[in-house]
Amino acid sequence: MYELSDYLAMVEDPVRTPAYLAAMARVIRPGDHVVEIGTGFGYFAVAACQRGAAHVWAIEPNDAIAHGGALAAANGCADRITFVQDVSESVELPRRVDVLIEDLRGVSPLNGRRLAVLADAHRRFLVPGARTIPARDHLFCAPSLWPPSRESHPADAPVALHGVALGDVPRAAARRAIRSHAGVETLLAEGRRWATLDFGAPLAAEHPVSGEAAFVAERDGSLAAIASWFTTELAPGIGFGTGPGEARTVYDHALLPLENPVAVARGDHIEVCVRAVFDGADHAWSWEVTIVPSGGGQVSTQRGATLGSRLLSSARRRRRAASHRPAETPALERMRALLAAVDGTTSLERIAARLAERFPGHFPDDANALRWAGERLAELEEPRPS
Amino acid sequence: MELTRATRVVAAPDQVSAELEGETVLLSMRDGIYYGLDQVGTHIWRRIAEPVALGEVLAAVLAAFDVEEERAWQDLVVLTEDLLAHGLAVRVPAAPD
Repeated sequence: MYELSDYLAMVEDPVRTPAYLAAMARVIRPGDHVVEIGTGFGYFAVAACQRGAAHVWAIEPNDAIAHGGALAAANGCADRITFVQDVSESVELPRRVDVLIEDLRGVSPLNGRRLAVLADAHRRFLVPGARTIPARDHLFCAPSLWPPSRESHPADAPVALHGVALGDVPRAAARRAIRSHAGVETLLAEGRRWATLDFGAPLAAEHPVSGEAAFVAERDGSLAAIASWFTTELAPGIGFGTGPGEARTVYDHALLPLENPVAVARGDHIEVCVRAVFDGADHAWSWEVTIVPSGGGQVSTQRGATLGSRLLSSARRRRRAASHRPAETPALERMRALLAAVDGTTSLERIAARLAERFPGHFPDDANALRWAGERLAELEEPRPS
Repeated sequence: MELTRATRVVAAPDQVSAELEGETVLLSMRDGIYYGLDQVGTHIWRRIAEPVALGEVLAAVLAAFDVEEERAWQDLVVLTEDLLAHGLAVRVPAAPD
């Protein structure tokens, strides 16, 4: 969950924000209607008004949006921005718009539900030929050493700490993308593009994003990870990159670890295949690295994947398996009672009192039930423009 | 084509899997759908990491679990058909004599 300070850090990024502002100046035409998905506290929505937008619908589920109204008023554009606190897929706009602005990336452009959100926006929000900021993101990768400043590589992790055996944890920890801001000196070869996301047309989130890149090692070293980053074209001629050697941004870049680092020599061929598939909530990654020694030695291949890197997450994912048979649980019974009590006339306080009466073992008092019911229903109620 | 004890299968490359508490979660990298395998399914899944005849898998199941051979074979066939249907496993040509 992002906090207000996270949104502020994104706005303060000396690379990202000037590039987005320049792109808006290039793309937005006077009188354009604009939607911004993931507006945070509304900074880019205000900036879009300052660059000619007739009206901006600024959408954000996070409570940071509560600051948007005051920000818009302070900048003289309160009457031209409609703030909507919700996920965009639940929002209806009164009209289609000419421009989409978004940055739902994380360390990777394939972040969370981003592609599904953008596909939905194309279907329901945009006029034909609408302009998008960004226009496209390019995904890059390169073979990498393990950065010296990072935690130890999972293969080098201790088997026990202070007398407690760590079991499979270090190995499981390797099955994830690890955030890094190491420099270009950690790369064994120059980065290559393995995929491009073009936002000018609807993207099918359910289609895997995959690609390959071939490298020749430029020096000797221990190949321990695949570094992964992106460059973005926000508008023609305007963009930035997040890779090693670029100015540091809020995104950093990702390391996809090899379970067992491999010694490579200058001139060795390294083939990388990366694949990301959307599982309904986020992208699961898999990667395969093949090293072909230039001297004709034995070819070796390593595979990795993010699946199973988080134990709790794995348990949750098991419950989402197609073969899973959901069973009645006390939690489900409480939720069913809550939903059944909602009739448009009964107050939340009254609903909570009934819940506390029916489930005394779970809710010690009415206030406890009120907090629980309020949180659950807040997630489900219709969005209201503020 | 009907599955027999001579049918050889192997886990498909377009999937990733992880074991947790004796069970396995499979994720199809083609469509992002998760599949779950119970303890016996996990035992079978480990066996088909490399190309193997179903007869060998059956023998491994019989050695590891207290189960009637006919029942084990039927369950193995059902699971294998499911894995093949969802692209999580593929048939491989018979091994040369």
